[in-house]
Amino acid sequence: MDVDLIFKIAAIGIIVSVLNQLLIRSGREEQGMLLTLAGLIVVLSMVVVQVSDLFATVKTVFGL
Amino acid sequence: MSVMEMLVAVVGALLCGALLAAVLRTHRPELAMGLSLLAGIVVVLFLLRQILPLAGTVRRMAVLGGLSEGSFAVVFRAAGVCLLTQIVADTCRDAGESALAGKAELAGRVLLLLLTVPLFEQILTLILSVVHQQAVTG
Repeated sequence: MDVDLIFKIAAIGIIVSVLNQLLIRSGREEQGMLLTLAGLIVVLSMVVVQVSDLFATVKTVFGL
Repeated sequence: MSVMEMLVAVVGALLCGALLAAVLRTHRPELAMGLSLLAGIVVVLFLLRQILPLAGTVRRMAVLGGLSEGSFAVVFRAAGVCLLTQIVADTCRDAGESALAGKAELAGRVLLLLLTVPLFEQILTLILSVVHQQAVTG
């Protein structure tokens, strides 16, 4: 079981929110926005891999 | 890995996922949603990998019990469709999109109907043949 993926996403979320606050405080809202987007894309790419793995496993187990 | 260890692993992963998602939800709701989706998928993948060696055994037992291979495959496929649509519907509902969750459930129902139409046809032909025989003999 890939429990480390859960912690990885949580760490990404915390880091992104802290950096976002920092960037907003220093008056760089647009870079904060880009950072948020980058974090979302990284998380999404991790989730998509797992979803495709889930689909493949369901296919093999249930013979879809 | 014993059953108790598996249970502890699953419960621990789910609790960690729930806790971290609750932490993230106040600042980054979109990442919290991704986290909860991923935690669910990780656990389901783990469970499916445990089931994988059992699936063939269950199939053989069903064939020994007199069920045909084709009709049992339909039952298994229906279980797979239900599992996937349930996961998707729950994820949509968590994200606050209950309309999309409803659509996912609708899609699951339609696909189940498509899957089971051949079985219904078999039952209908069986009933019709019985009725026809009775009409001929009576």
